[in-house]
Amino acid sequence: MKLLVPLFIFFSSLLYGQTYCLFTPPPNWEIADPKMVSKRAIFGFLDKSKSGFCPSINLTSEKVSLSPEEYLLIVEENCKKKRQKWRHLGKIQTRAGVAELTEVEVRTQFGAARMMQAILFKEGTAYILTAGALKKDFSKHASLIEQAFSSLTLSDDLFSLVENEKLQEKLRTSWQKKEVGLESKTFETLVLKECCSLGAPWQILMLKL
Amino acid sequence: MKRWLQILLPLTLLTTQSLRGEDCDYLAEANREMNELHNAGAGCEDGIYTAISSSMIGWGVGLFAGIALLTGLFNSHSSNTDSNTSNSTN
Repeated sequence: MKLLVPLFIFFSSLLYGQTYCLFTPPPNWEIADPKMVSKRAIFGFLDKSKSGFCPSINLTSEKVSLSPEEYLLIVEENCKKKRQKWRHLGKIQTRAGVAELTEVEVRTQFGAARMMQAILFKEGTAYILTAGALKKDFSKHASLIEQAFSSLTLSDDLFSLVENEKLQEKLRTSWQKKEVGLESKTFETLVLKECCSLGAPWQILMLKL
Repeated sequence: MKRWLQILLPLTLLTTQSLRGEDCDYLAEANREMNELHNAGAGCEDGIYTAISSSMIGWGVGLFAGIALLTGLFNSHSSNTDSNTSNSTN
């Protein structure tokens, strides 16, 4: 037990040094294959129930030293070079703060697709949530996408997002045991079975701890 | 004169060396800023790329499932036909 306390402090210091970004994907959207997403992508989800071009949402991040205005100008310029239509739609309130809302029109084999992006600038990092669907179907998914954008959250401590204090304590204890190498099954079971309401992104990040 | 030169030479060397160091720092900083500018917006591009590729792969998975289903149906149909033919010949 005496050994556990300093170990917990050590691991906690490692844990709190990082900022985690997460969001709640629309219900019943499945996680995208992690192998095919690009290197900056944190995770992605898609609606596999649709045939053809599936609606999808993904989270990417990028270190930025520019102001949001300068960054958006560069993004606009990059899109112009690719002959993509880019528009700044305004701002959107998320749980982590106010994000910039933009839209890009891309041509695909299935027809014109609309990509909507919520870009949140926090402490030298841009967190980008991108949702895409065919232009003709986009309005059907608009409210789900808006909800997912609004759920964008930043947290230094993933455990603190668990509202039930007893469950939070159980999670911390089982995580400490996992870190010390005693056993990891309890932690995984707690994350996967008792914390479903926190969403797949939270579960993925917790299992990566 | 010689003594003055002996003092001046190391002094000059020291000052130019420090200036050269500052130049290097400045160049490294400029290089870093240029790289950042060059790569700015990559997060947005990656987001769009991932959205398109995942949507397409979702379609690919559906297509593959469809082909597998059709192949399965075709195989079961042809095996049924074969067994019917062999029964009728017997």
